[in-house]
Amino acid sequence: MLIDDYSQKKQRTIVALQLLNSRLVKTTKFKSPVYVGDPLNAVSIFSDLEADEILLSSIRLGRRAPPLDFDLLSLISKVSSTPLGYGGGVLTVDNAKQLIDLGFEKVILNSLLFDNPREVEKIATALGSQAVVASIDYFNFDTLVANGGRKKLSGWNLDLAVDHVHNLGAGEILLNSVERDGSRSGFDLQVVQKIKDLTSRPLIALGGGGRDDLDQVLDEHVSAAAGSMFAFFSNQKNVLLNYPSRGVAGSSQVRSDSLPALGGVIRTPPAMRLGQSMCERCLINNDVPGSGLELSSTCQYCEFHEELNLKFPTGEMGENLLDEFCKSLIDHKGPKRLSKYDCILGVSGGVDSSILLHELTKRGVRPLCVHFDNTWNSPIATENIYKVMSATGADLITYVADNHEYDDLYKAFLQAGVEDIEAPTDIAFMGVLYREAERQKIKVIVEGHSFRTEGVSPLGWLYMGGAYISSVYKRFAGKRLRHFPNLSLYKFLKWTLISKIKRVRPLYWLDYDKRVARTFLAKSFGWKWYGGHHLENRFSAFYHSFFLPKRFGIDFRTIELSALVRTGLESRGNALLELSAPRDFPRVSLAYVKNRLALSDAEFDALMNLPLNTYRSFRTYKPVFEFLRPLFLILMNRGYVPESFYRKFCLK
Amino acid sequence: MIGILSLGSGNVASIRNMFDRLDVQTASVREKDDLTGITTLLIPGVGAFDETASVIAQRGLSSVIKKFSRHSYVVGICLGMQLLLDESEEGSRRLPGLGIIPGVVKRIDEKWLPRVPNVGWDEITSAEDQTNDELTAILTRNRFYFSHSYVASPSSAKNVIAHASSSQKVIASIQSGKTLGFQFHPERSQRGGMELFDWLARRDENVNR
Repeated sequence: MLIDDYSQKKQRTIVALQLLNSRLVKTTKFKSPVYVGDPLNAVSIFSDLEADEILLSSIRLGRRAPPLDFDLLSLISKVSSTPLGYGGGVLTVDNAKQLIDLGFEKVILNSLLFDNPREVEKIATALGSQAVVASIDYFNFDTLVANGGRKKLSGWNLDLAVDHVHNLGAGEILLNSVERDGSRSGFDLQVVQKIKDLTSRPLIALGGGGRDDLDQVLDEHVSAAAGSMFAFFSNQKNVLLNYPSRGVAGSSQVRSDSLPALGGVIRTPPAMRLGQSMCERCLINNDVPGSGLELSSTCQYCEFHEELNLKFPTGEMGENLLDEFCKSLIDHKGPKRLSKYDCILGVSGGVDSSILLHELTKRGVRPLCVHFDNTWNSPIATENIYKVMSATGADLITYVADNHEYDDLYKAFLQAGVEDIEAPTDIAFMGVLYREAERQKIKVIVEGHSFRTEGVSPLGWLYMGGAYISSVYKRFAGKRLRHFPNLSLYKFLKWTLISKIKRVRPLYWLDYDKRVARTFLAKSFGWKWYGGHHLENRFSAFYHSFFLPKRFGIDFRTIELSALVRTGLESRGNALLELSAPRDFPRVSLAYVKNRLALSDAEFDALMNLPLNTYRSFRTYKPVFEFLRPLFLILMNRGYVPESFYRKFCLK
Repeated sequence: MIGILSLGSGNVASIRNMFDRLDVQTASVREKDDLTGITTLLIPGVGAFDETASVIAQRGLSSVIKKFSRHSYVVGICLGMQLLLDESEEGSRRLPGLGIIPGVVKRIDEKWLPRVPNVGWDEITSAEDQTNDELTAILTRNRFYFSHSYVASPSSAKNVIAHASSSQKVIASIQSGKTLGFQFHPERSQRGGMELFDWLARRDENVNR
């Protein structure tokens, strides 16, 4: 082909996602859909990762065409700043127009191409060719199918079909290999090569693609689309949304100062009020429950810090203790070892778990990493996990929450009027770690907590527990939890006392400075800082930056900054200054929360103005823990539960 | 205030979303009276030239917009940019455009690009004699999403601000006085689009200051 003045440019790398009952799924050979996550969350992640394009299609399980869920599609369009296409159930020119009006750039047509070609023509005329993608589903050059792979199209081959859709005015041709769907066995290069010469329309190859195959198929004529590659971390189908970063020259970051400050700035309460006293050493004041400042000039949290400090030395002694601990983990292997892993490590993409993974693997420990995805991840979280996992070579298992149940659970917690709306994620995270430890016969769970940089959260600010979660859900959602990996007292005791699963926090032995760790991670793994503790998750960001300060006047930065002051990593003056800085929560982020939870502005405002409530109005295990205090003292001393657990839940 | 011409079709929703991300308020413009208080008028567009041109004519907006463009900002996006010109090869009726910028709209010749329609991301190269440095700085440091079968061909090279880097024939941005046009879709061009819309919003704020 001879082209004037044309400088080569590669075509697009497209994310292809499938929808089933407003859940995101990934099929294999057009069958056996695997749940992947929430569609709004996934689209916003891929959009923020700057995917070239996102194509969504609703799949059908029965004979009927899937319904067109315009409400969901409208929300999806709102969260995307990336071009979108949609297919599945588009039967008329009006359907197609409605999609374009919602902001979709193109409609994807398959069965309609053969069932009702006249309608396809009408769509192409009304919306322009560039808005019509003809999806041709095939087994091989001479075997084409429609209706989600159910109907064989006799008398057709790819040659005829390409000619057919060309004449109908389709602007792009999507070659979708049924045989390769979900296989990651490579693109069907043979067919792509053949079709390339048959048409001058842009081509998209779909089916079988893995990251290593992209370069083989992408050129100036052909775009590559894939699902599994972007949805899973490894071939075991562990969900981890990812997209290769683009090395396009000249597309520098938008300078943050060139954009106006986003709305929704909230002033936190001033650090000091009349009649308020503050700890002489840190930033804890007598508003913080359990401060003990009515009896002493330094707070109880400082005292606890010192206790832990004595128990967990750092420096050379700490290094030795950590080495010893790692050795003891590895020594569990040998002929009688129960698992090929030495411990379980929960990963979130944050700095703590990432650095812990590095510290363990560099000492020869083989952790099994577990990620609990509550379907509210930010793109930075998944990207960081992807990078750190790839660099350390550790294995990853992901557990994706049921998006509908999780959103109902969040809503129930908002309706309960309590502070602890993030308790479900903390509990589910622990629940998933214990379950995986039990399943894989692993005896140690390592946690990326550090009292020196994070502090210990006050009980009156955050209460969590399995009974609490099921009781809030039952009261406000009116149902029992079905998918939530809850942590019941019975199971907790079984895993602790019978399976003897220990929980250890190795960062306690390290001279751990998050700033140093962040720089190290960025340099070594290309890890990215997300701008604040807990901000790697969209709901967590809402909870810390909007919900807690606005509704309860609680600012968790007090706890973290106090810890840094105690450790000597930050001066008290600087910390006070930092604490008085306003917390930002962008308006679009707030809109996202409302959209996800299907709350109108009025409904949301009503929830934010409910009378304040506490965990005491609900069934909890707290009385049982208090009753069993002597047992938990023994468990704590033997390393089965952390010190902060004992202190928070077992003491009155 | 920025007004978005809302003719009941096209990419109005995604344009509004992008401004929402920037926390910039916009208004819908459906008829002549809605232009009160509007200092920048955005003309979106997806679909066929004739169809949109006839809606504009039916609502008696053609001369109103042309008059508006003499004293206020007009920004055409994709088909909206093509509507700024005199006429298009697209469609059988050969309806006139708004005629704010002299020139015609042509079908993309298959000699210009390896694949037509032109769908995908491209970088942008500024025209040699362009006169809008602030704008071209934003255009040339980002990538933008194109999706079109027709392309603007202004009569005078002085109205051309920039073209797609992969082909000089694909005019990416045109300008005449206070009127601008973009062939690509800034509303779906991620941070490049955000930066461009932010620039439009600040330019609009300066008018009202």
